[in-house]
Amino acid sequence: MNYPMIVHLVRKDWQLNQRAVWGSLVGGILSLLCLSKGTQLSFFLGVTLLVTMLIAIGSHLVISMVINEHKEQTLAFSMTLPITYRDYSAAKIAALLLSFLLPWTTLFIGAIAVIMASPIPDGLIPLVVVMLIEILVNICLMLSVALISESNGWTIGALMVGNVGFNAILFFLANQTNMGTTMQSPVAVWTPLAFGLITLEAALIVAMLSLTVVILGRKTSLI
Amino acid sequence: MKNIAVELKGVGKDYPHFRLQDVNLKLETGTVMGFIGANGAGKSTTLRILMGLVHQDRGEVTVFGSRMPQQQALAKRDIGYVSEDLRLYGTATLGWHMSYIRSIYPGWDSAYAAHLCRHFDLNPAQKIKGLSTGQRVKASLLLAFARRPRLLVLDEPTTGLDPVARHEVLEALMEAMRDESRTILFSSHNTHDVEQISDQITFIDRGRVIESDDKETFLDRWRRFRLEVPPGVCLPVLPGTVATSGSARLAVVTTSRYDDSLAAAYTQAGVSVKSVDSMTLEEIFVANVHSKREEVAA
Repeated sequence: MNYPMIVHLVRKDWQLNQRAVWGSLVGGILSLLCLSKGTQLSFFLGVTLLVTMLIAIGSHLVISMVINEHKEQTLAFSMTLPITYRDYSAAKIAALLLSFLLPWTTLFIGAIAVIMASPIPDGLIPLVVVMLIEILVNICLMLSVALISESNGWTIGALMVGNVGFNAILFFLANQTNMGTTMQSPVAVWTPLAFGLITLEAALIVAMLSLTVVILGRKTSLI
Repeated sequence: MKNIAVELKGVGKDYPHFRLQDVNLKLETGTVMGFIGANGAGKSTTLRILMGLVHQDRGEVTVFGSRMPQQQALAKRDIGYVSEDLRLYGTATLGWHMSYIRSIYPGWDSAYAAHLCRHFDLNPAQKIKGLSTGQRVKASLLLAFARRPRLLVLDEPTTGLDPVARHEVLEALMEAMRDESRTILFSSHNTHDVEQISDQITFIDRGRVIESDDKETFLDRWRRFRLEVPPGVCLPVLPGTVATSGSARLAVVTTSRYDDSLAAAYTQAGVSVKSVDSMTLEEIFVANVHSKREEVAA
């Protein structure tokens, strides 16, 4: 791996996309302000805005950093630099994760802090953690599909699968007795189910990204 | 003996509807090679293989001794590549691109970049999406030239340019050629452009290199005879005859192995030589392609 060049590529992607990231961060902070009001309506608005903001910035970054590079033929510009396709793929994954993790981590910590500081029951924290990590899984799925397929259609398909999965997991958790009943608790209750889901999500992220690097390493036509 | 900058040995690549077959090329340091072929002949595929952008299915490619695609990161430090399908980032300015490339290539020549900006009438503060097609090509060339690479690989750089822009680009290329250690591989289907700047020519057609030689040899070897064949005299088929056209009495013979003895041979056979005309590179290319296609068909 050519690490100095990977840093150059990551910096380039950051420079080209930072305005969108900062914008999403501002939107995310607004969602946290809504959440902190503590009323049912503001809670609903805050959660909706938070989820929308994270999915929007994640999708934007994948489309802009990966799909548009193929569509707008800027991939050839990067690939003429002293790098291999493996360096390029590693840089894309790193650039996207770093750009996405900035708003995601900020809002993740912010959401938990708001729940703990507001009248919202702390029992919601495990659900929020599972669902926010699920958004990260969805973005990693989109990234993997985009890098492997280089197709707008397949990437939108991955976004749809991710969103269906997100709602299915939310529905499943809300109806689980050992998690659903603890949501109203004044303290966070970390059930084996919550831990199991978090472990599964982390494993999915690692597996998807590793598989992507392996598959991309076998590509023979890069542009 | 000069060093070899680029070498392709038995290179092949298979696509569902196209095959690049047995490409052998050798480019000495300081050479300017024009790579001529019709659309879809395999020029871009060959140059992409050379850059490591497409991996060959067969054969060996080396650039400055580095094997491609395995050692492409090393080789590409010394290569500037511009292709008609290479685009810059539309939302960024030319100045941003220049800083980006400067941060990667220690040999970046800022004074030369500024000179090219003036020569190409480019404004570094302008966003790429606001540039015309010609300006975009010139911006890509600037970014490749100012790296001062040892090898320039240019895939159809003048395609789609207006005559003024094409002239400016060719002028900049000639300027780049003043450095005798710089090797240039320049593909085009515009033989006029290639003829102006190349000292070696390679023709490619339907995925095969059909001929490769230095430009002067091409121009010296290829001639067109206008002959008058008297009744009862049979037009002899001399070595190197590539095509014969015209009527039975007034024949036009194209040869790829011209020397003074050919005219004498026709005269000796009773055929009157009316004229011996030089051929342009375009005429040579077209005649060459037709003759090779007929050979393959036969």
